[in-house]
Amino acid sequence: MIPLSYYLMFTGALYIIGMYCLATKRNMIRLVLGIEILINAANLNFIVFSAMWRPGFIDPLAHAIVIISIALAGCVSAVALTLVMYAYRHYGTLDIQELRRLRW
Amino acid sequence: MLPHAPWLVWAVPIAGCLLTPILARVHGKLRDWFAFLFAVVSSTFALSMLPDAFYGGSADIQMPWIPHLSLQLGVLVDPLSVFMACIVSFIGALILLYSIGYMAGEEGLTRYYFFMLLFIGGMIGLVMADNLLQLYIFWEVVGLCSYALIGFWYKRPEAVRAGMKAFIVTRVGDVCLLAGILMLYLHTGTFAFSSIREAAEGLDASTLSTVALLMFGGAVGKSAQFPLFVWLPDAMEGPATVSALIHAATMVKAGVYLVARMYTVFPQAHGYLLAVAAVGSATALLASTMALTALDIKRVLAYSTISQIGYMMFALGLGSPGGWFASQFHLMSHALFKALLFLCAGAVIHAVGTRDMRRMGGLRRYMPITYSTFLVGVLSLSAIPPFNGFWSKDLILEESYGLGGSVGLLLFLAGTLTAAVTVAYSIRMLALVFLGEPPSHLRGGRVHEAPRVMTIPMVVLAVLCVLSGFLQAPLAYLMSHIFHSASLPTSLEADILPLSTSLLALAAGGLPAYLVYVRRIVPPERFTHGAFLGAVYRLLLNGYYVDWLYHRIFVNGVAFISERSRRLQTGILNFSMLLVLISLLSLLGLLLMS
Repeated sequence: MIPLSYYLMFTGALYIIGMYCLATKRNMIRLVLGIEILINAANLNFIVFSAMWRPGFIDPLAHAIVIISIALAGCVSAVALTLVMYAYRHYGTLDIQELRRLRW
Repeated sequence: MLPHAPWLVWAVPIAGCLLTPILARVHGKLRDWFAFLFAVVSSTFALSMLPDAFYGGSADIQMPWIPHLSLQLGVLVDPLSVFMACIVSFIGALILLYSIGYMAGEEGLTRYYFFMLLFIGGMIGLVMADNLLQLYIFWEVVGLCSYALIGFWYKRPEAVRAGMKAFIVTRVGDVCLLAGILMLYLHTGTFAFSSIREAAEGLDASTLSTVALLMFGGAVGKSAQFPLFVWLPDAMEGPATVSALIHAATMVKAGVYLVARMYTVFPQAHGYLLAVAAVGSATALLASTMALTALDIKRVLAYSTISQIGYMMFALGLGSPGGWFASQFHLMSHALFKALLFLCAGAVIHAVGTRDMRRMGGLRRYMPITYSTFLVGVLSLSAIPPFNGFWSKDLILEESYGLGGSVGLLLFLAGTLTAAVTVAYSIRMLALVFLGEPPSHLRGGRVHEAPRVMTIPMVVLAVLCVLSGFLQAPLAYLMSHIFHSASLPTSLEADILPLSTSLLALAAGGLPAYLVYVRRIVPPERFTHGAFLGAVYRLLLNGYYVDWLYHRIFVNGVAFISERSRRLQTGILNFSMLLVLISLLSLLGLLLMS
């Protein structure tokens, strides 16, 4: 059996990749992808903890929640992509740093 | 007592406010009259509790609320709560009747009646609550309603600002009150009024006085006492009916009620009574002098409310059952005459179209009913016998004189001085608005008497102002059930020294004001110029610069800090996410290192 820490390092790495994507990329579609990676990291982490919580027992509740979470992530990305589309129509660019009307 | 009256007395107005939007869909008139009807039903319930309370019946009706915290939702029926509920519901009903005429044709009346009913219901709920937590919830409801109603004309920036100011300044007091309540709960484990007294006896002195002072801080904020009085004069931006409700029945009376309710809990708290008396008397004196120079008719009334509430506070601070009773008696007198004065001022503003007293004058000729009722209100406010203000105010002065010692003498002097100034500003207000020659823009039939739906509440209140002064003996009997042993003063003792001093004060304040503003022997403008008088005039006009000081310290301080810290918010998404990433990594690093 693979030890817990391997999983945790993997999800942590996934999370940091997502954050890195959000922190450095300026294209809005890439940002949406970054959010997806973050959500997947969190979901995976949840599943791992549910599996390792008690030996020989895998909590079905965690799986149910994660499935809902995946569906919600789909909705979130749909909404986010809609916003991106409207922002593109309005500003004529996908660059997040051009969206600065409310900035000082 | 009608069945379930202690619950229905506040549930009916609150249910009514929820029904307002539905009734408004049927017809606007239906909504207006139904709002009045709900208040009338509520005051019927309140009055039905009066006979029971009068013969000493008291009850603490409870039902479970949050069982695992052993919290009970309850109503307390005792002389004090019934007395307050009667005043609030009765005056609220009269004000709602007046609103039908006064607010006719305004926009957003559904919102208006919603919050007026919620205000009345919240205040009655506050006085009927049998524990501090429930009282605090209604305390906040009342605060919310005052915010919404002061800023009723939301298109006027001053009104919005005044509403926010009222909300924020009273919030300072509310935080104190919440801290006091929670501290008391942590030390005694109870919120209920019935058990709090025995529980508080076991507290050590410093905790008890901290709790007492914190709770008094809440009362100071709500009742607009010094130094948190700044919100009340600005609250005049709301409609006159709202001011009448805030001043006469709800909101500012909540603080007096709280101090009166906790009277038996905190008597031995170190320095508490002295603080109440000092704050009350200082507020009474300072606010009355500010009323001398205010130019806005409603501002004069606002300062006079602050000053009269100060009287009630210092009577409570005397620490004797007699002083306690005097403050409640004065609360009733003040509720009647201040509601009357505000309703009359509303009629004047309705007719003239301005609140500036310099643009009024000679209205006696055009508005005879308003004039005569306003005269009754002014005579009550300035405590001329036999109007109700005289009986209650002189009882306060007599009680403070009877306290003896240097503190009692000092309080008595402050009270007498306030009485003199009160007469002066009352006469000034009366003369500027109703006497003299009307200015040119008011001549030629442009000013007319208010409609009957507005004058009827005014006349009712005026009659009560004359009569209620003689209700001291029954009121004393009602309240004596709270103090099982002590007897309450059923009439003025007419001790010669305090009585003659206060009558002398009336003459000392009234005569100069009469000569200056009615007879015009010296033009009033003389007092606003010159090196010394001018400086005093500006000091009073600006409210001792307290408002200015608060603005400099708090408003400008917050603005300064925000101006400096806004650079932290770049608004660039990548930058914010980078900060999140860095803090995440550093948290992880910290976890790994430890």
